[in-house]
Amino acid sequence: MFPNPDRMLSKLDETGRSLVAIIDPHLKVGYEVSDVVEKQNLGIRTSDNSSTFHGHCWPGESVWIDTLNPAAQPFWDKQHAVGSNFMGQAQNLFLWNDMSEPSVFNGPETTAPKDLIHYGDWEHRSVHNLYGLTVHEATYKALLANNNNKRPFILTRSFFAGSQRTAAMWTGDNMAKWEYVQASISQVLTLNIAGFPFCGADVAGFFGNPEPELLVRFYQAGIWYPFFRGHAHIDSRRHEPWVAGGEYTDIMRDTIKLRYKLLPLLYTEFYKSSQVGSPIVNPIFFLFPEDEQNYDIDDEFFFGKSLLVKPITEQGQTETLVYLPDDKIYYDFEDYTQYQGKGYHSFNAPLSKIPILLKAGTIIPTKQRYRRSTKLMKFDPYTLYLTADSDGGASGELYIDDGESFNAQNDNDFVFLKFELRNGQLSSKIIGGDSSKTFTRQLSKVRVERIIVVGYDKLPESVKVEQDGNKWEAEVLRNGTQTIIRNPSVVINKDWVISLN
Amino acid sequence: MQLSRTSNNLNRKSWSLVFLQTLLVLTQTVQASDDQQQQQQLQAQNPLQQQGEIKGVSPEDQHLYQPNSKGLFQCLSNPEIQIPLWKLNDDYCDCPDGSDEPGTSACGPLSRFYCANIGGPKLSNGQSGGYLPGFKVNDGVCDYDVCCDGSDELPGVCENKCDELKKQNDLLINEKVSVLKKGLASKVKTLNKGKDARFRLVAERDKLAENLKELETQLTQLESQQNENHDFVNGLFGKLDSKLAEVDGVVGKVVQREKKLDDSLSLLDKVLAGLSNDYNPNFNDPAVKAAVQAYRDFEANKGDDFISNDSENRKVGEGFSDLYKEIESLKKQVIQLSKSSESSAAAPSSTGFSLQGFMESLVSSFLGIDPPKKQNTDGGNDKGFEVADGDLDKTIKDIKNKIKSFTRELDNKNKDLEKNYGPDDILRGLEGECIVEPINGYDYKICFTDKLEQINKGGRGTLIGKFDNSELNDGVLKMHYNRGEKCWNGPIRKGSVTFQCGTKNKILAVSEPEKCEYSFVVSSPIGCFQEELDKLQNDY
Repeated sequence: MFPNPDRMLSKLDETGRSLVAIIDPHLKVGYEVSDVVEKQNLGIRTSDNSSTFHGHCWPGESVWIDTLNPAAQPFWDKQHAVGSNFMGQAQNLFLWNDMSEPSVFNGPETTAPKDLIHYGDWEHRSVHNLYGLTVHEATYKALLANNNNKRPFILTRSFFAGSQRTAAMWTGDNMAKWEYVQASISQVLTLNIAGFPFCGADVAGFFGNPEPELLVRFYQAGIWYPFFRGHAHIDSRRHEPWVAGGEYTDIMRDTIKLRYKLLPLLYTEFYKSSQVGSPIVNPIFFLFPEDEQNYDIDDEFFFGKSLLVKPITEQGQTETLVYLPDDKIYYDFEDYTQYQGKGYHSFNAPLSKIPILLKAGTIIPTKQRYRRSTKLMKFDPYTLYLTADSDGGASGELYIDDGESFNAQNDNDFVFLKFELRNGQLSSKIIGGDSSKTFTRQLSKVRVERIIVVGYDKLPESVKVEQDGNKWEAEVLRNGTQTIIRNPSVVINKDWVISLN
Repeated sequence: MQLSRTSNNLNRKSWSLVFLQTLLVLTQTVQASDDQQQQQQLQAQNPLQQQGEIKGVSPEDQHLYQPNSKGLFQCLSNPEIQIPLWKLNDDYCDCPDGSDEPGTSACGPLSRFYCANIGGPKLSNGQSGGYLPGFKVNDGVCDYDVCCDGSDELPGVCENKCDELKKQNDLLINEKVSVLKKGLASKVKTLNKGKDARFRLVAERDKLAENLKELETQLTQLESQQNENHDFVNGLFGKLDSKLAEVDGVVGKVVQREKKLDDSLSLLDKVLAGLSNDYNPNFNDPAVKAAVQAYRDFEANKGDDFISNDSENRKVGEGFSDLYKEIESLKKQVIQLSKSSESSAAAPSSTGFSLQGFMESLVSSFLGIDPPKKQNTDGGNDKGFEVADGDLDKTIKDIKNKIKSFTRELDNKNKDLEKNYGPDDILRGLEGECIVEPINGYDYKICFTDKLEQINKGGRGTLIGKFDNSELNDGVLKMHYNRGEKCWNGPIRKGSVTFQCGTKNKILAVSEPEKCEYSFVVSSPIGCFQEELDKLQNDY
């Protein structure tokens, strides 16, 4: 099927793309890898501890690696080592550990019998919930053993408290039905407040064939999952956005472009989450706990703290009620229509539209250049959205690092900046990181190319820009409802000020 | 980084200041001391601006970037939008059509970047110069497939590989030309085979059509003979019918007479019964006594079958209509009998059975009349009747079956002739030819004009599809195979074979882009086209 994986991976790497391959804890019997597991007693054992347990999973008769066994780690490392049969020479190959509950097709409740024996004589019943965590952690460690300055990407189906440190997770095998796109939102919100922010559901349903409308609406919901991927069962028709064609494909293309546009905001939320465990997508009640009226809303959420989103998840629906949790102004993210007043507001949402509202008083960072991969967006300029609050103030944050190494953690090679609007002065201040490091120094070629100003109509023809003691002016463009500060040309890794008056 | 205006490392004849502006913006530095507006004015006034080349625009299109009378650039598709020249290629997208940023990625997919690729290989447009979508500019990737000169990235990122790629390309082209020549030479054989095959098929078809026509003529003759026999039978029964009408008349009279007799009888019976019951024995008249005794004896001995009333008469009528029915059914049977024996009409009677004789004796004996005299004057006509009628029927049946199967065969041949076997029926040249290739644990087998199969090692073959049709699109020949075996829990299998130019027939790759839809890539001389060779030889 893939006669030359190394070449394929290096081809993908040319445009900054990575590959995620699936490795499960069950290993086919009568295969060089499982032979070692049996010979060295690295597998989960039978209840009488007399031999390695054999059960059935995808490849047929299999054994299960016992990742509770410390001796399993060097073995697992070896399987994943650069230059191994599996990994080859690739640096852009990452992993997905599936079936790690573990799924045993002929076991009770399709899992491992509870009296199987793990390392340290623990019965499976005692470690069942932990097992999946040990599997993806073993994989994480194995990838670190290859390169301890590259952040591994691991996706896991089974997870437990602590999984959020090393893996992304998804909600398992869902279906291409409206109920499932509805459920996906409350699932992802629940996982976010439970401390598993890097999660998502299979777009547009693992089993079944979604009709084009469902496909579109599933993508429109899916781009807000912190972990966003299209996936389907082998017997389902392909779910890729180009399959539906015509208008549907156009809408899905725009939808996915929006996700990529918002990556700087998403990445900043990830950073904050990694520091304090905060959700990336927030249920309304999580940000407005004093407002009991919103407690049962599970189909609307804040992406970060500035974008209020309510994906359409019902067939044939083209209008919805969006709940505003406070009295601030909210702007339609597409045409800047204003909505104000706590409570429900009617919102038109034809198939092409996701109800997204930008909250007044916030500044969000985006990147609006279409590229072939996120990696190729690395040095693209930023576009900021600025919405002043009723008191004329606004604030926002931006976190930037190289996206792949541990230099941010280990060497402060990141910048964390705070945008602020106060008294007509829009400023950017570096409040974290060190902009003289290997990566952050390179950010001197990254500028802000555009500031979209919403709900602030006092702007003159041009605005004064100041950075590093240098001053210049930037043009202000007005185009219908849009006011844009054109190319302020400030570089992102240094403080700057723009006077809006 | 401070950029000096003389430190550029591009050996272009002139560096556009517009491009310099781009770089300045991209590398905006602490040291940049000029007020930006001043820079802009400076650049707008610089005469080089007007003479300079606009980066990312082909020489033919450079003229589009001349300023208008107001000294402004008009967006190419939106002339109402006019911008100062310094905004060209300043890495900010001003025009809705992206035309102000041909040299940067600011307008993304809206703009296109021209690279000259001097000395590079010719691209598919027949030129060295190529167009790259704007979103591929300045993203750190050297898109050598379009821009071998590396000009899509900032200076120093991508080395110029035009010479190297030209050499590689020349080798590739030479190899391609050589394969094409060999392939085309061997393609001629397949073409001739294909033509022959079609010629043979047409000949077979025509012969078949001719045979069919003959059979139809024969059938028409035999059927008319069969009809004559039916006419005879009908004629005979016609006679029967008129005789029956006569008999009906006679029987009617008989029944009427019987009724009269019956009436008289019952009157007499009543008289005698009255006499028998009411006579005075004391009179002792021996004549009366004898008459009463005789009547009583008659009554005692007359038996059950002596029923004389209307119902008996009705029964006679019913019996007669039953007889009519019997005769109708007999008529049918006779026609049936003659049908099933007529097909052997051409053959001499083997049983000596004569339908006419049989019918005549049947009718005569029924009517108790003399058999009609044989109309024996016309020997030919008579011969037809003399034919063994069971054989005639069988012959007609056989001919009809033959016509059916010939028609089917003719239909198939016509369908096959209409089927798309590629240009000049070339695919017919592959009739009977099969190739096998082990790929991914299976043997894949193509019998070109027959079927595709996936064969388990040492096991049975699974039918992917039977040859259905072919198409030629943009110089690529593709065969389609449909109606294979149904996938377990899935659709009916189907597949296609796409040909590439090669010297031999060989399966290069098999993939399953959609579940149970197989796509084969096959190298073969029939994938070689003179047009491609001409194009290669003209272009290079």
